[in-house]
Amino acid sequence: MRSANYILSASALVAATLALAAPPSPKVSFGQPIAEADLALWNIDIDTKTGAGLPAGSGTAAAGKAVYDGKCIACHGAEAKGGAMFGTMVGGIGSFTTDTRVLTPGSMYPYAPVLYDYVYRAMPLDNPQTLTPDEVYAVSAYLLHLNGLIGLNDVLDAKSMTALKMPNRDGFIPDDRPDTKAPRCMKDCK
Amino acid sequence: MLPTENGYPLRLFVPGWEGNISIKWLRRIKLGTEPWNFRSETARYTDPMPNGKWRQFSFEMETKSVITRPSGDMKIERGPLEIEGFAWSGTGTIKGVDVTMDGGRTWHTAQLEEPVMDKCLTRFRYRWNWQGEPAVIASRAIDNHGYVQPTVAQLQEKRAITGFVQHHNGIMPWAISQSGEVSNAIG
Repeated sequence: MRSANYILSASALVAATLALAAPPSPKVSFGQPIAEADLALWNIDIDTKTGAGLPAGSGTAAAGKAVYDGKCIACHGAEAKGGAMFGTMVGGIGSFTTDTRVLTPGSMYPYAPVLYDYVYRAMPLDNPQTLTPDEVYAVSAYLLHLNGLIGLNDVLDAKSMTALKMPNRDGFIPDDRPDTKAPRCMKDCK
Repeated sequence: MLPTENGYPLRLFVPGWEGNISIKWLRRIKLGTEPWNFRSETARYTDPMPNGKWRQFSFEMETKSVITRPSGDMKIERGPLEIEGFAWSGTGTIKGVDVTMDGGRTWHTAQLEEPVMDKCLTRFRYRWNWQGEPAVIASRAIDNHGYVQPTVAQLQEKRAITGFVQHHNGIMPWAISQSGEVSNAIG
């Protein structure tokens, strides 16, 4: 499923096109201008490459275990190894060159702040956007620690999370399709 | 009128890009200089590629088609019937659609139904006289750049994909049994 965060990336190019023609001031007879403070509640996306948008706060894996065991374990299982609803969030680093790729935040995310963005935005599933920055940093630290990427007592904050070199940082190639060049064979094909 | 389940009151519409990018219930638009690296665009909608790599930001809808009649779970009777389906391409206009009734060994040019428009669904049809032989039918679209919709095998030569995953525009075959039952024949 496309989650709400996708709105942002998907709309960017289209919006850029729309912005070229500056419209006259709209005259509408409904609604009201939105206040900056109200808009800030929606403005939660993080530039995961640069860390821009990461809030103040910090946490460690040690603290994150308590957050995880309280709010995540029911679906994701003990030590994030998979549970009632979802598979593992641990491991998979090095698996992409095998026949069985294991996708976890540790193996897959190119930038650690992807984890912050998603956890705050979407988790816990039944009550998203309720975790405090310290809780998000802590539970992120716990997951990164379980994946062997940081120590149990390493402090995760905006700076250290952005600086963390994820193993799949260079694992992506931009869309280079078309990649096939099928012939239009009509008879005796294959 | 835009029904609620289709995005009322406001829906983004992005011609040429995959349909699920046309976001429903649009709340706001934020501009950026490049796509954001979020979970969905790193860990979910990326394509496994050779050497452990992942292809990212595959937004454009490549040329694709599918037979809608007959299709899975239908049952056909012997005799004349019209094969029908849709072709579409985010890269341009549908120039032609071919259909096969022998699993891709022989292809026949289908008839396109007007209007044929840029980045729009294009209907096609082909008259067939089914005599009760087991068959594998499929369609194959060609766009105005000469791009030919690939087979699953041709895609798998380039991408490290297994199964029918996202951004998959491979040819979609249906199997027809001797008794006329239609089922999914994707490899």
